[in-house]
Amino acid sequence: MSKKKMKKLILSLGLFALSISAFPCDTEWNACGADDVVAMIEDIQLNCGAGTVTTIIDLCDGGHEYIVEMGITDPNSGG
Amino acid sequence: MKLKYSFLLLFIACSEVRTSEQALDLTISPKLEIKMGESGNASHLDFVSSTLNDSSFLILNKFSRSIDTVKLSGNSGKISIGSPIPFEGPNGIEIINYFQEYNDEIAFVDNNTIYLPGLGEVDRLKINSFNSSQFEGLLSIANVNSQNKVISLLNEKDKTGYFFLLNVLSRNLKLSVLDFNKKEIDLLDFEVSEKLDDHIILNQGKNAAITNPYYPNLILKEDKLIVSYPFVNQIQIYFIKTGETVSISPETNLYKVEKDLPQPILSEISFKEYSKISGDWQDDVLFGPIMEVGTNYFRFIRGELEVEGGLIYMELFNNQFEKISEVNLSAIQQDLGMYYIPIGNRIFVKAKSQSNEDILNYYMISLD
Repeated sequence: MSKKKMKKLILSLGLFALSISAFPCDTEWNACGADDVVAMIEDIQLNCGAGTVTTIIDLCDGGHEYIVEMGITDPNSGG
Repeated sequence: MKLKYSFLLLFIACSEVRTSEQALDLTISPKLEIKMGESGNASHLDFVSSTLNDSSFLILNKFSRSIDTVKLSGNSGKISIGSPIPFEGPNGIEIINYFQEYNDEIAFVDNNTIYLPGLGEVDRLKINSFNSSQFEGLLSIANVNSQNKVISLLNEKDKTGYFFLLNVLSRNLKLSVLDFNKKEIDLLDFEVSEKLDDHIILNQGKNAAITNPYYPNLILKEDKLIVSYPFVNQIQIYFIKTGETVSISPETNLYKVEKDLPQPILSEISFKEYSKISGDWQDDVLFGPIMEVGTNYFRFIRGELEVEGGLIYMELFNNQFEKISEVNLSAIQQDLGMYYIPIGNRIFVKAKSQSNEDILNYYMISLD
C-alpha cells in the first residue's frame, strides 16, 4: 500500500499512525456512512467503560457527529 | 489582487434596539496554499489547534502524532513538523482531544485527564480522582469549540482549568474550575442557557446514550469566561471574581438566531430515524466559537445548509461585547469554510474546498 493511501486510511479511521496500547475511548473517531457509525457505536459499547465519552464523525455524511456517553451497564439488561 | 470592501453596517446591541453606523474595512486575500504532504497531515480533515502568536498557530498532526507549527508570512506559509508525542512512558500522552501552551510547553486534555508538562514526567490529572463533593459521580470534560478545537482554558499562573463537566450518569452539565494543586473541583455559580435542554437529541440505550453536539463553546479571557452555544445566538459572560453573569442575544438581519427545535424522541427509534433528526439539526444554522482578534471578539455563523448552502457570516464585538458589525463573508468569497483561528489582527480561514489532501488551501481576513 502506498504511503499516500496508508495516510488516508489511517486518518480516515481516526487512528494514530503509531501503536496504541488501549482501545481509543474518550476521543474522536472518523467514520464513513451509517453502517460504519453503527459498527463503531457497538464497538464503543463493548469496549469503553462507564464515564467515557467518545465522538464519531461521519465524514461521508457532511461531518455529522454522534457523541456516545457510556453509563453504567444494567446487570439485568443483558446488554 | 485583494478583495476589499467597506461596509456601512447597522448594529443593534443587546436587548435594546438602537442603531449606529460604523464602517468596517475588511480584506479577504486570494486563495492561498500551504504544502502539507511532507507532514503527512491531510487538509480535508478537522484540525485540533491552538493559537501561538501573531504569525503562527499550532495544529495536531494525527499522522505523525506531533504538534506542528503553521507559520504564515505575507501570502505564504509553511508547516514545521514537531517532535512525535509518545503514547507511553513518563511523558506519554494517551489521548489528545485538545492542547494549549502551558508554562512554555504544551498541556493536553482528553475527556477525563489533563496532562500537564512536568520536570521529566507528565503530570496526569484524572478528574475523577479529584475531590468533587459539589458534583459527585462519573465526570467527563465536555467537548467545546468544535469548529477549531482551540482552547485557552488552563491558567498556568493559578494552576487551574475551567471546563464544562458532564456527569455522565445524571447528564448534568456544570461549569467548573479545577484546582490542579489541591485536586479539587468547584462548581461556578453559572446557569447554562435555558434553551440547552430543548436542543439535546438523546437516544438512550441500555448502557449508553447517543447525543448530538450540543455542548456549549467556552473561552477564558483573563477574569472572564465567555460561553456561547452552537444552536443559538446567546452569549454569556461570567465574571470569575464576582460570580456575576451577563447574557446577551445579539440581533441580526442576516441569519436565524436559533436552530429549529428538534423533534422530541419519546420512544425507541432506529439509528436511521435518529440520524435524520440529529442530521437535520446539525445542518441548521450553526454558531461557531467566540474568538479574540486584536482587541475585539468575533465568531463565524454558518447559515442553514439546505436553504442557502451554508453561507458564512461573521459578527464582530468590541471588548465590552457590544456588537460592532456583521457581514456576509460568503458574498465576498464563497469558498470560506467554518474553520477559523485568529492570527494577531487577522483571521486564518480554511477553504471549504480542499481538492488535494496534500495542499492546505486557506484565506486570510484582515480587519482594519
